[in-house]
Amino acid sequence: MGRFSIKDVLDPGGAVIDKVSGGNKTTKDILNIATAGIDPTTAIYRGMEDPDSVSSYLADPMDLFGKRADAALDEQQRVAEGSAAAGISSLEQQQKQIEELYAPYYDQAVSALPQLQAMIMGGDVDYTPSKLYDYQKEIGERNIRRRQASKGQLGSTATKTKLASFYGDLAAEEAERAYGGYLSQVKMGTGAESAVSASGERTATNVGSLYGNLGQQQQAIYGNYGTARQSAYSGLANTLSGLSQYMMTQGG
Amino acid sequence: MAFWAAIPMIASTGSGIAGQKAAQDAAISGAESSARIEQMNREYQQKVFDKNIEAQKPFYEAGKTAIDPYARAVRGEGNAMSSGLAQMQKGLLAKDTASMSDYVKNLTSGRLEAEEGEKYKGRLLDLQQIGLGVSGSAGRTASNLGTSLAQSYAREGQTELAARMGEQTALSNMWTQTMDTLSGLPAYYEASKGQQSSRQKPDYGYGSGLNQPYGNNIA
Repeated sequence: MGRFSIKDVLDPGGAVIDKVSGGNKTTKDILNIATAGIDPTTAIYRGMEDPDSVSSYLADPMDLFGKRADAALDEQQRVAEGSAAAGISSLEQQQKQIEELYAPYYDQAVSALPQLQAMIMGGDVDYTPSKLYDYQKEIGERNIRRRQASKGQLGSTATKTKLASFYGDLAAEEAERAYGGYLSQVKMGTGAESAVSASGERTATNVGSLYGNLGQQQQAIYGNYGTARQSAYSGLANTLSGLSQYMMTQGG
Repeated sequence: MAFWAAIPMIASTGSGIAGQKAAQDAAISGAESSARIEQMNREYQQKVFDKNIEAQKPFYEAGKTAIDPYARAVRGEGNAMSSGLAQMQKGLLAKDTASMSDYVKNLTSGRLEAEEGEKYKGRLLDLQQIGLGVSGSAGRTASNLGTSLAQSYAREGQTELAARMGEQTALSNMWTQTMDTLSGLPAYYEASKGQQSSRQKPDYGYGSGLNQPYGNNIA
């Protein structure tokens, strides 16, 4: 906070002082001195010697108080901001841990997504027949052939039709297994994403509360600072008022 | 002497005004500081939202690609055999039935097309639901962001408004105090002169009518 001048704030052109002084130079000097700044003690003593030089001695009497108050304000802000920063850091650390826990599921899902899309929409499917497929095919073919052989129909169209139907079932099962595998992977990924997202929102809400509290704390810190300064000025005002009364009662 | 006695009197008023100004400056600084923090808060909320949306995007985009094909499939216009799974099965069956007659091959492919026609719609629906699921999540995230931003702006506005309203009151008080002091000066001088001529003894109390306008009424 710099030097405060009533004149600068309320009567920068000096019109009010001109009017009030009514052209009386002495009155005008008093008003100029009194309103140019508020280091009254210096102003009074130096002004007695040379009223015109008074302005050069005017300074903010709250300088000493101001420096200490500013230091206290900085310290309070540092404490409040440090506390909020620590809280935010802690929340972010927790969120990071949650993200790391879910990351493998999410990453896997994202990498599985193009395959799932290709399976559904069209495109290259990276597929190798499963061992189960090979095994079922081997066992199934053998059983069908044995049954048909026992009927003496091994080379018949009926056997081939049965085999073709079996191959169709087998291919459909294989396709469903592949599809189900990728679909599950992707669903796990969306689940992981949802969990991380929800956790992120909770973190954001909590961080928001910390910021909100910090804002209120800052307001309170500045409010206290302002109240303290005002109180100090009031004390000075009362002292000066007493001084004024004393000087007047001395009668000249 | 009355001349110089007026200086601390006016300075006393000035000091009272300076106190009001200091308190008001501090209130404005507090509001500005609070506003900066709310801005940081909003940036954080936006960052979390953007991050969530970015993570949801691959699923959402994938789901979106299935919307039109599904609509066509429902109308019976889609080509189920173009899907990767249909082609996969077609490839398996082509190898398995390679040595069989065209009759058997046609029978097999006919069955595959019929079955895939139905399964295709179900799979397109699966993909859309994946997109829809994350859309719900995105909606929730957006709603939370909106709430957080609205609350933050409200807090900031409330704080600034209170500070600005206080500023108006403080300015008004400062004017009033200054005007009271200045307008009281002529009477003060006159009274002081009278006191000087009569050589009254000092009166430290506040009983004197001369002192009353400038007594301890500043704070």
